[in-house]
Amino acid sequence: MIKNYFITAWRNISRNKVYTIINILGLSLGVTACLIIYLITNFELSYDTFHPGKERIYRIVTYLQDPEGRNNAIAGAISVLPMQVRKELTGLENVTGFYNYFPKIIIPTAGNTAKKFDAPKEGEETSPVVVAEPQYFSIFKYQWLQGNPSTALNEPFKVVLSELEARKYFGSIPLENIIGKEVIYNDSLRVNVSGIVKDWNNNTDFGFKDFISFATVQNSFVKNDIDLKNWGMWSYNSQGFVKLATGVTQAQVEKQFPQFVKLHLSMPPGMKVKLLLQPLADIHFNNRYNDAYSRQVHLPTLYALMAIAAFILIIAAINFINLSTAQSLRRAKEVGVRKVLGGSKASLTIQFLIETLIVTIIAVIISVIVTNPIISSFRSIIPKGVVLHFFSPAVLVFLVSIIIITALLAGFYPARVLSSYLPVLSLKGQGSQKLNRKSYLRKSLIVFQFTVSLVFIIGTIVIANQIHFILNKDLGFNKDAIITIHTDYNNPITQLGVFANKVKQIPGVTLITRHQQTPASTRHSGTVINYKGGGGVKIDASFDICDENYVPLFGLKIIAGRNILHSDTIKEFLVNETCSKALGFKKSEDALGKIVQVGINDAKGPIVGVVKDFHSESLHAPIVPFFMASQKRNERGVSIKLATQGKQLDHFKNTIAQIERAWKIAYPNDKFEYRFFDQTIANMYDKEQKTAQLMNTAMAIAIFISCMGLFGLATFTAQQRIKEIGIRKVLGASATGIVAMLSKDFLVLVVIALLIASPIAWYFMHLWLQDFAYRINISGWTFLLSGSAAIFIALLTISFQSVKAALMNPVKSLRSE
Amino acid sequence: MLSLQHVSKYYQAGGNKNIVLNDISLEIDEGEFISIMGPSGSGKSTLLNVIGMLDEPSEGYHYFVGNAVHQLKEKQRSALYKQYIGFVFQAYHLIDELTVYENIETPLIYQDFKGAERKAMVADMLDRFQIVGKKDLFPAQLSGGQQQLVGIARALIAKPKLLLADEPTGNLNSKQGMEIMELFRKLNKEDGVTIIQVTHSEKNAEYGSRIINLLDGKVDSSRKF
Repeated sequence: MIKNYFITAWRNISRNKVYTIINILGLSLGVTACLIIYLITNFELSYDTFHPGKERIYRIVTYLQDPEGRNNAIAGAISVLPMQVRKELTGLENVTGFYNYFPKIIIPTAGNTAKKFDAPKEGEETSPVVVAEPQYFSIFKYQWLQGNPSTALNEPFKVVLSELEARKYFGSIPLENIIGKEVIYNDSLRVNVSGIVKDWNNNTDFGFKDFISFATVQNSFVKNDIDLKNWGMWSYNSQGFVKLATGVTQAQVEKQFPQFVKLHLSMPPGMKVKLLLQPLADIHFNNRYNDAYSRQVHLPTLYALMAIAAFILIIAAINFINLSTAQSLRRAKEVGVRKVLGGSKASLTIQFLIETLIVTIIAVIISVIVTNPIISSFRSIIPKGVVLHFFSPAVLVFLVSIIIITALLAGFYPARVLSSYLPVLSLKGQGSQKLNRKSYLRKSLIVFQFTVSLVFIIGTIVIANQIHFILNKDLGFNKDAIITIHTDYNNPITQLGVFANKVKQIPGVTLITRHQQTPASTRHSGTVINYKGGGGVKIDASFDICDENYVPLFGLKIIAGRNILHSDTIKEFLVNETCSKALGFKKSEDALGKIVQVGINDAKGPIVGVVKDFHSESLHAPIVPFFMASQKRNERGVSIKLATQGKQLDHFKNTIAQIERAWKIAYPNDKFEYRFFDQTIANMYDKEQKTAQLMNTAMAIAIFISCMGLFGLATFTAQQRIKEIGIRKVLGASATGIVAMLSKDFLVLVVIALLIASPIAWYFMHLWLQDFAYRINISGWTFLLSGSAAIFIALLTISFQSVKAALMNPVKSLRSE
Repeated sequence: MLSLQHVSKYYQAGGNKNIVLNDISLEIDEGEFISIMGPSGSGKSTLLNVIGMLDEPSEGYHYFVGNAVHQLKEKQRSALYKQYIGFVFQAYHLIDELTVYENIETPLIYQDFKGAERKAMVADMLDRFQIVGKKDLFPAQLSGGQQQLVGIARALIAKPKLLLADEPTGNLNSKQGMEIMELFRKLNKEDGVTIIQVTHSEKNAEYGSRIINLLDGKVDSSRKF
């Protein structure tokens, strides 16, 4: 019996290739979306859930309130705070402090070639190195492969490594031989390995691998970085963790904080400090507290994703239902015959469910195959570490339940409807009569799907326009064919001179400038400018420190006065128009020669020139007062203008290779890292690019799903009206006329969808654009274009069925068997 | 074998009652070969469907091999007709997705015959109808006469006592029609299958042992040979 079901199911599936392909594609789309979102949520929700006693582990965090009432949340602490907490507060089983450290690492080897590892960039990368108190290992449990957890970090100049890190440093020698070996941090901090722990396999934000003993701090230059005397310095890198004693509540500990604050922290008037405990489980999801190692996930976004996944799957299933019932006319005869031959309703239901099951299984197989490639092509939006491991039990359970749920969801209704046909009616060819009533439901579904599609289409167009706008807007400076290199602050400034002189001689280089930042940067520093004359004005301003080539190289336009001269100390200023106006000068010329004082070491000097306004920040923000001054020792970056006569990337490569050789001579120990300036600017809009990518994907999915629904409905209608079409043709209707007649009804649906979608899309895109100080207007043609695109896509979808129906020989459709 | 007493069937169409069968009483014995005739719309097919339990009468009593059909539940009715009745249609109504072999086998599957048993029965039937060579073909690959042959083989596979045929030769040419009629006669005489057929053709009707003429839902005349 079952075998027979499978044979029939398979033949039905393979005979109706178009339906089957659409159904399978639709379902695989739904399942893939579900699967990927499941993997993401599963991944994120599993962060740091494996620590023993995790519900008792908390981080000490701080709220600072300044006199203006602004709250500032700090994930870090004062370096010495955890130790004091341990001494004074009650109800704590353990307290530990640890400090994120960003050192270069050298592993001395027997030969001359020491292994070197670059320092992670603070603020951009996480560092595997922490300086930790021994209590760290009482709160976070590791499996110890070598060394003793209770003593390993007690002495100065000791380090505990994770197994992988030890292997990376020392290769595959036996672990016991690694104990006692030397690791050198930041060139001169020599420490010995005193323990090796097994790496955690679970997802964690605490992926540290080098644990330097805390006792090292007092006995080495590290005490300059980790200040244990000062109670006034809050640092992101200083972390304090506590584990509550069993039975003690968070509130009981937090109650002791105000007294503690009063005792140790003397704040300036108006400043308020509040210490709080943040649960371990909150760290991965709370983005108010920034630190140097954890990655935050927005929990509502995660929930929204889950809802979207369920939604996509349901829509795909509904489309499946639509397509299956659309075929009901053909299937009705089979049902009638089977009933006459003795088939019961139950057996027919099972038969149809098996058909759905096969389609679902094929869809799931396709999903499993494409999931990993899709994940890797969306790496920029999907967190690293999200991968489909097919054989993991959680995934298998998920897949099996998805198969069952989808098969039932998509198969039950058609199975019920089809199996309940009365044989007398269906054998006479009236099988689908009872489905007429439901066409309103189908039509609303199509309108709904197209509304969603149109919102996404409009959104995609607006976002693409805005991105095109910001990337092509005249920013007031040149950004093409310029590369920027930043040098390490620890190098003597004279070396930069050596490097710059060498670069100047390279034929492919037009100009070179030294500066702190580039004209557009997310990291311009700010200070105050004070103009004492004419009533006196004091304003906030951004600034850049640069030499005299800065203005010509970046193509800034001086509209009054002259360029600055290169000097060792700040002597004179070049300001932008906005700054000149903010200082109270009506005309740019009025500013020339006026003496101003800035907040950088109270430097004083005249304004020598005014430049035309340019965008010193991303286009999210308006132009702010900005000035430029020269101060040699702070000019640590260089920008190099490449000659563009060849304009070929090959040509640039050649020049850059020569620059690299110059770099190696000036900075033999440092890595050569450069960035194209236009790329740096594009990176400012990374978030927008990701949004665009997400929108494109969502649009493609929405359009595909809508077309599937529309195709189902078109098929259904064409079949239903087959007799009418036949009669119209006999009476002289042309094929074009019939295609028009069939298409008209659907186009009305798309137009309704456009009317609903337009205000919704306008509202959301308007909100999104508010984030930009410089933005496009959403014009009417955006909606027209989206509408035409949707109509075109809809027509294309319908035409498959309507043309077929229109070309059909009326003799065939009118013949009654 | 079966008995209809005062059976009526009507549909409510708008405000009008559309009467299809009007107070029909009928006795049919085992071994009879009955032809139902009458003009279009006289209720022939409906009568056949009522007899075959595909349709329920609006009024009246229906007895079949000792059971009061009008009192039975859907499930019992289905069990009863699975056991006793085979159907043949004018449009053959073979399942397009199944081969000849599988089409013939299907009723056995629904009646829970074992695999080996099914195999033997189907092989026997293919042999008897001389369509062994066609067993792996699909309906679309057969001529109309061959399709109807398969339809009859399928109707007979579960050894029914009663064969109901709704214009079995309606879509066939006269030679094919004659062959089918010869086959019916043989089934009736040699195997003792009771046959009720609906037909338009006087010639085909004469193969039967009794002709019932319907007019406007009533038995107009009935003659035995």
